[in-house]
Amino acid sequence: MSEPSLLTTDSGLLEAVERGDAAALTALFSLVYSELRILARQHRRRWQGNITLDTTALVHEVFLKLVGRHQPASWSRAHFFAVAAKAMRHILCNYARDRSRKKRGGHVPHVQLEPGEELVGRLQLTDDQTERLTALDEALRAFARIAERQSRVVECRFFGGMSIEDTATALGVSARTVQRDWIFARAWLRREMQLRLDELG
Amino acid sequence: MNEPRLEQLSTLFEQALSVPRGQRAEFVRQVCGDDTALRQELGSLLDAEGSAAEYFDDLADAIVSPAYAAMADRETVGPRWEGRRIGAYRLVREIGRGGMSRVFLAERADGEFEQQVALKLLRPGFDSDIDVMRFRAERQILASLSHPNVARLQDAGVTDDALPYLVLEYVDGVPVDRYCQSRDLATRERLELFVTIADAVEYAHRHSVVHRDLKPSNILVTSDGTVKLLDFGVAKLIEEGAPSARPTTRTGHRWMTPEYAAPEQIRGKPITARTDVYQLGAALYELLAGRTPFGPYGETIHDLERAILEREPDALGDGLGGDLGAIVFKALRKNPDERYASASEFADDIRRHLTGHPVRARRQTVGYLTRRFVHRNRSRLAAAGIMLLLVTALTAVGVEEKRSRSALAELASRAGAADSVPAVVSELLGLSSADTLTDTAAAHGLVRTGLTYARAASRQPQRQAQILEAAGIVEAKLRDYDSAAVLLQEALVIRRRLAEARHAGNRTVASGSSTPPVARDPMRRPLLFTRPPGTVFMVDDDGSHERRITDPNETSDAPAWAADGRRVLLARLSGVHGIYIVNPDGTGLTQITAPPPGWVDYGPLPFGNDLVFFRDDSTGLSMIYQVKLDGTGLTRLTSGLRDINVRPSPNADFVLFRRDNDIYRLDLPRRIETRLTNTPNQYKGIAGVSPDGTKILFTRIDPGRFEQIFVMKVDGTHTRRISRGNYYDFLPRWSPDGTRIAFSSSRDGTNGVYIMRADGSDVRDVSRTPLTLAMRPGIGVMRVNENLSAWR
Repeated sequence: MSEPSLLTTDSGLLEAVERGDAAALTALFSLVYSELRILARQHRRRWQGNITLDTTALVHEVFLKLVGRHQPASWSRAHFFAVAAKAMRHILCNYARDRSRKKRGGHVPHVQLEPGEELVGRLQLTDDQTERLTALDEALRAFARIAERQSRVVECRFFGGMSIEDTATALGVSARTVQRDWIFARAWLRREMQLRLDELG
Repeated sequence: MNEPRLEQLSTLFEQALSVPRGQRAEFVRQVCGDDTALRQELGSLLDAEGSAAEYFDDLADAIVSPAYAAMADRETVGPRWEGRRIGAYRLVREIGRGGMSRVFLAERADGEFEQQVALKLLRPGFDSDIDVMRFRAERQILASLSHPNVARLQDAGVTDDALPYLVLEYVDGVPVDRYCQSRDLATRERLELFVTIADAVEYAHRHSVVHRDLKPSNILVTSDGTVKLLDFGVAKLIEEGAPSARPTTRTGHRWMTPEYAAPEQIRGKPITARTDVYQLGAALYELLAGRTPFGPYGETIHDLERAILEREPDALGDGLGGDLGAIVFKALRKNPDERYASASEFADDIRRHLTGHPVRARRQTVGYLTRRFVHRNRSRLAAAGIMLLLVTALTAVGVEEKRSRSALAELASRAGAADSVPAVVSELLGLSSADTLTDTAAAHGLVRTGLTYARAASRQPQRQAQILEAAGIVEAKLRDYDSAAVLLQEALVIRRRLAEARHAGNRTVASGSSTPPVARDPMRRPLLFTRPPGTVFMVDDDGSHERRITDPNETSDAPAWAADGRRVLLARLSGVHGIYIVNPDGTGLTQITAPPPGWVDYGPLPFGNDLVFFRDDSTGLSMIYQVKLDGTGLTRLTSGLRDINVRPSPNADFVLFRRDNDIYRLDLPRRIETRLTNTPNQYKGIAGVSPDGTKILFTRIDPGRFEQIFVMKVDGTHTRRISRGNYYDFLPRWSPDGTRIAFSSSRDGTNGVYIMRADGSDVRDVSRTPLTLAMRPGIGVMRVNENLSAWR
């Protein structure tokens, strides 16, 4: 009685996303995206109240739907969240980078993801928000080179709205480590972002 | 920056954070010595830390959350509000956004006089009709509040498109917590500021207005140091102006801020002035401790609510115990009747504390009064004889207090058992068949009460199963799938037991005394498990004879049978923390280890006649220790590990542990470490050493693949994959004779428990065998019972 699911029908997809395959990311994101829209229509009423927590609940529900209700290992759920976080970072930061470049008259290769483009278009980010996102993305890239694990914690927590526990499971470290990394990384990135934003004036 | 340097930096950073703010500069100077580069790094990080949490929260609120919301096709980008005219005001710019509202800086549009106001607009999409009459009546009361420390409500109305709005005095200030932090105020100054706040709350109470949503972000301090309380009565105005939202309860749940919610708000009980007393207490706690009372437990709203209802907040911190702690904790009592009766009583007690007089929060015992007396009159009481007398008296008083307290607890539990049970049950059943849950807080409350009743109703298994099912369905609707699964499985076990008993021709089913369907192996021990939030139980492997082992007011975890086979090892996480040993009937609780302050002992496992356990240091690294059952011979076996997965060998000659995803063997007593695998990119779970001590059972997840079962020799050679096919196979266990392996799996599309031969052949589904699962929510539902009946 198993439902067709992301993991059972195409286990290579998550693997490809993990490798950083942009096409796989697009495919996964489209899947998540369309599911989210369907679900949201069903659950519109629930979308009152705390938005951050609802994000987690919604992604959770999408996960159940895509991955199947019969997958028991908490590993896979957390892992899925981490992938969704990666996808979200990719979308938002690409968009922000393009806009920043455009603003400075630079060349902009058009590599937007189809659903992502629509998404950020609807967000109407301010210039200030765009600058911050770009600064965060750059700082996070630099940070990843010296602190890979800590940077992944940021990806999960910030871009995925993931709990400490889920982040710990996804990354295979203890919850305490996640907590510690998160506080440290936040301070680090805050400092680095400020430097970058100050440079921009 | 190289790796070790980063590690060093992050460790120092964390240590520095535990040092009081005022002493950090000194700390940095000390630990960095003449390493100026390090000092600069550390200093700049600490500077950035002050604003980092808020900065990223804001950024997530502004970008990431709306992005997910937009994905979900939610109305996030409405018409532009800036420049619009509402009533007599024109919106200038958005200055804040809450769960249900947006706040704009606005100015008079008619140009009559120049005045800036804050205009609070209820969020578009807010889904109920506004009872305009009621809204207007209520606002009259609020508009009558006139106090220098209360921001005035100037006007309120409803826009053309039926959105209610409030016009409030515009306050250019910062939240009180940030104010205290940025000026580095001393405790006394913070308390004085707080007394002003409490007095303002008292003023409003005297005008019959309860705030309901007091929190630092609603308490602003202007640059000249004036306190202004915002949003007085607004929560009520909004809530009761929207009668369709909540027909049965008076909870302010949807409007309240979870971190600062009082227990009665979560339970949907009536809200009174004492609710504000609680929230004042929470605010004071935060001003003193630098964190919210239940913040550490609040990963999800569910956890947070549970903590607020059930846990005691951690102590305030160094130098803030004693009277001050007693005052804050009195305000934070779960039961409103035990709190200060009013904000002024609360304020008075702080004034007493500030002047060194006895505070009401402390029980007025002889012991306490004398202590205070001695404190104020130390010089006059210097005579040693008097001191000695006092000490003796104090000790006696202490014993007496303890005795009466336990008598009280017993009375309370007896009274609780007689609570109106059937009403709760029928409400819960109703809720489980409802299409939508309108009031999640009330639902949580019902589930909890229902479960308490279910646990007590062991003589009515039918009823018990019914409640568990209803509770499970409600939990699923609340999206706590782990809890739901556990409850439903539990119900299933009871149902199955009933069916079997009926099938066997038993005319009556007497739960608790039913004969197990299979003869019991005399050596087989019951299965131990923990029910949230931390009560240890045991149950026979056919699901019968459930017994509670630990005190339900305590928090314990990770129970395991001690090597003597008669007593239970556990980690106690309340009271005096540490590893304990206890008789199965709950008596004889004896402490084995005591972790240093801030450290945690966890996960005891029998190891020969001793035991091994983890000790988490304050940075979150874990070390494995060995100790004898009497607490002597404490030995550290490993350096710091990042995770906790350890398995002892049956002959107590080595332990296996995991470090960075690889499996290590630690030979004892010489403590020689051998790394057995070298694939850090593959997650592994060590399941156990075979009973003959020659093979290791573990699971492995290759990147992008499923979790599968492997066996290798104890020297790390001859690694073989045992489970076949593409499934999640997890939590494997050896059979007692080592010839077979039981495991959980998702094959055939459902969770199940399976048994196969040790070579992976002959896989059989044994899910129908009574109780093949352990009840550990959050860890996994279908856990293989070590004492699986199907081994027979």
